[in-house]
Amino acid sequence: MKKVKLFLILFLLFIVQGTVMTVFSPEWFGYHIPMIPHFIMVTVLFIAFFVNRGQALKYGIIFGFMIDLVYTTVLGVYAFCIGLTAYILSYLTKAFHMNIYVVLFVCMFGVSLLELEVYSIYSLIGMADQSFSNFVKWRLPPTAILNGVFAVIVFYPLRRFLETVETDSSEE
Amino acid sequence: MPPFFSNKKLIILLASLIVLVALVGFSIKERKQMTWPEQFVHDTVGWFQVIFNRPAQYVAGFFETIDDIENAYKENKALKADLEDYAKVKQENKEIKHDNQELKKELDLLNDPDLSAYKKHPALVIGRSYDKWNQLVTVNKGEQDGIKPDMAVITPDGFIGKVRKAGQFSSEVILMTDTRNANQIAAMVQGSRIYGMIEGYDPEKNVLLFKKIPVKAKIKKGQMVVTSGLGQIFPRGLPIGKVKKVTTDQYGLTKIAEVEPAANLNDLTHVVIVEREAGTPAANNLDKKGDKS
Repeated sequence: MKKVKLFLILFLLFIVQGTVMTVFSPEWFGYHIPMIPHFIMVTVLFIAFFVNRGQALKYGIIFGFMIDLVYTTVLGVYAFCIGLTAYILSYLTKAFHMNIYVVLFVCMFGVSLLELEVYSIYSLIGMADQSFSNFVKWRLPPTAILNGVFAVIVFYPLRRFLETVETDSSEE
Repeated sequence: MPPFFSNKKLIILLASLIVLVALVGFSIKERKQMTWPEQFVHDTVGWFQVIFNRPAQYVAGFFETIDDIENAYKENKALKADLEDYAKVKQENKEIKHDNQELKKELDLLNDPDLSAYKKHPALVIGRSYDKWNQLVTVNKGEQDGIKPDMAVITPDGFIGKVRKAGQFSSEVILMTDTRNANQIAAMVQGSRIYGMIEGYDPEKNVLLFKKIPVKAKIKKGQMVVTSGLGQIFPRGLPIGKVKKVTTDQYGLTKIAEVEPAANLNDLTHVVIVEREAGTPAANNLDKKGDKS
């Protein structure tokens, strides 16, 4: 039951990323600030911290692939990048106590890492033609801030929910 | 703490890299038809996207309306001034159309396909790719409504892109601002018959690049660029944008014009999918693949 709920939460965020967030983007109001919502990435990182690594990898790949299918023209890029980022960063749970500040920082770092991976793959196949300095200067900071704010907003409710998922899955 | 990447994990990483490369290679090939799992995901997600996108657009539209109210008086004045000319222009238009028809009849051209005739399929934007690398928009009309790949998509202001893939109940539109040159558009300057191709987009200046213009062509700033219909996919005369700057290419053989898109691509809610009535190569001979327009 908890798993279904988790799946629904991720699906909701997946829809919101492509609909509500593009409608209320700065572009809609005429400002050219690329704020990219990576809410799936943030939530998958939460799963990696508060449930376990395997679950995070599973959801990361499933929803990454759905992002590839629906919102992009190239398959596999987001599935690979979200999976890889969540897997690498999940090792941080051993080194840090996951309080809100650490999670905020790691989420911003993870989103930047994801952006960097996607940017490098897309550059390789000629889909991104922004120069690297412009990418770092204009795209990364607003994106990291937007997702950081999201991470802070969902931190307490999502942590409480995910900890019940963890006890659920350990009982099985 | 276990080693960061043990042997087994390294092998899995490499294997997934291979899968990634294979998938990328598979999807870079231009496929026109969706496979059925793709269609299933698109249509299911599309259904949910409608639920979320409509309220969001209403709210955003509400804020825009507040903005509009401030400008209403000024706009009303300008529109009234335009309206005085409207009746005259309409009559003239009727006369010219009639004359045109008569002349065509005399020349026996009536049965020839009209390049500028098209059928309209209005559609709603229900989703949009949120990373700026992909410029994709999902609309709520699909094959069931007669949408086919490669149809032109416009807003009242002008051309915005073409249908990339059509699902059963939703389809994917690739905007002309996609930098991968997927949208090569046969275009011309309105009025004077100067032909060229729209190839590529410069995101930093927000201009389309109108290339392959003859070097002697007299092209000026402020002229309107429209589709020429010679690419055999789009109808003739869909407005694309205004010429902003003209330069010669690096070899000095042709001119390149920077064209500012007429349609606002950031604010898309209602679009019109355009079906050209003059035959397209794909419809005429099914076994041959149509040229890109």
